[in-house]
Amino acid sequence: MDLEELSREILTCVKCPLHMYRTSAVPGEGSVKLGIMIVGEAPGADEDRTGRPFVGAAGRLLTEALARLGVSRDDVYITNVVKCRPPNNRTPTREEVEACLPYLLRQIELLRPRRIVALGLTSAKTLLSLVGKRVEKIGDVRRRCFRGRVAGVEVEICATYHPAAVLRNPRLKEEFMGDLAAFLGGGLERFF
Amino acid sequence: MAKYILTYLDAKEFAYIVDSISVLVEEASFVVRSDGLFLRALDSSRTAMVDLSLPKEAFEEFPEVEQELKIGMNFKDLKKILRRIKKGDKISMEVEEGRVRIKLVGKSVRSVTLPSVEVVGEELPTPKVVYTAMVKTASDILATAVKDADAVADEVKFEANEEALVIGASSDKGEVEVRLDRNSELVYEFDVKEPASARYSLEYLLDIVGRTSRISDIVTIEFATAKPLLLTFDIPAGGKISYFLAPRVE
Repeated sequence: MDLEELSREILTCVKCPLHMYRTSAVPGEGSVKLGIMIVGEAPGADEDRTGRPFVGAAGRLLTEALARLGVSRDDVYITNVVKCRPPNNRTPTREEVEACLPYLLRQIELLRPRRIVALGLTSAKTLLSLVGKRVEKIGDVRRRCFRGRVAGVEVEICATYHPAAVLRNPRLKEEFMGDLAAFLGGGLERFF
Repeated sequence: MAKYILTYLDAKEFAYIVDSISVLVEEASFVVRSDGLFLRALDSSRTAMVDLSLPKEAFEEFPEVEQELKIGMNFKDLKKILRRIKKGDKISMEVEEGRVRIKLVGKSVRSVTLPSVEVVGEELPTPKVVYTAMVKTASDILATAVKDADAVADEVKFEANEEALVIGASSDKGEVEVRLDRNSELVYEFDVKEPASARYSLEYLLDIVGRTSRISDIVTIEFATAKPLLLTFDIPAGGKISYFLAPRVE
């Protein structure tokens, strides 16, 4: 199965009740040209409408942060732990995450990223549990990367805030930008 | 506590300098040393750095300092005050007990006092880069090239060989290319030791070049393959403002 077939499967998925509320499932988009996969929590209203990840206000912040780092959206693969929008943008339940996780694992298996950037607690919790790390608060793992084997792939899982949290609390923006610079290697510091 | 006074003759020019710094940072510290006023700051994404140096000779009045004096400023607030500048004004900064009084001296004397903010800063080194291409040209040529690139793409490519500097951009919206031959009238210096090619995000470049070209007619462009871009603008009263910009991740 290739990525396109997997995306088609996601678009018709009925594994959990979220399929009843969606306009469109959001499989993910981009490439692993830079070896990077960015994983958020779940689609929001704009994503549900367009079928594309991170295209709403939080998405614009992410895209702007990537652009500042000199990273094109097309050069990283962007997706979510849960591929369908939970009603009223609530946090996905454990059952919804578990039902959807096989898709993320297959995406990792097919794309073979060297680094996965987990945005927000749901993503960090889900991905880090796969390498045996328990997470209670995003602050405990933020700006850190954990190495492990996920879906047969040696990866580093790095955690930071979700851009939606940054929009709610603009004081986090500097830390968020700094985290992404550290994870994506786009900063000036590599020349210091 | 002692009072330190710095007076700059051309308030408008100083406002442009502040505006050019504010492209990258909201808060940063001016550092007063015995030889001049300095500022070095990284933007929050740590991909761009501004480096200002104004020798004491650029000032009408400059304090004697035994050790360096830091003046932490909120550039957003400072910019608001400097919008009130009138042509022919000069500007004074009086630093005393954690406060900075900005005095705009023209037909009348207007002053605003701001708190000196505590800026948590680190010592920032100069990026270690061997630049293989250097071109000195008119800053509006660069500003136009960058604006043209922005019309079609979100990044710009700088390429230099023995003959020319080419600034270009391409996307499905179209292609842009600005070629500066080494013998062109507007190329003041040209030194390409080996061919160089690097891509940079337009996110900052557009603002940096747009605002700083108001201070200086001349810019020195330095880069090397997959290395940071260094743009240096000479300030008419003396000194310079430079920007380092990390290359695109490839």
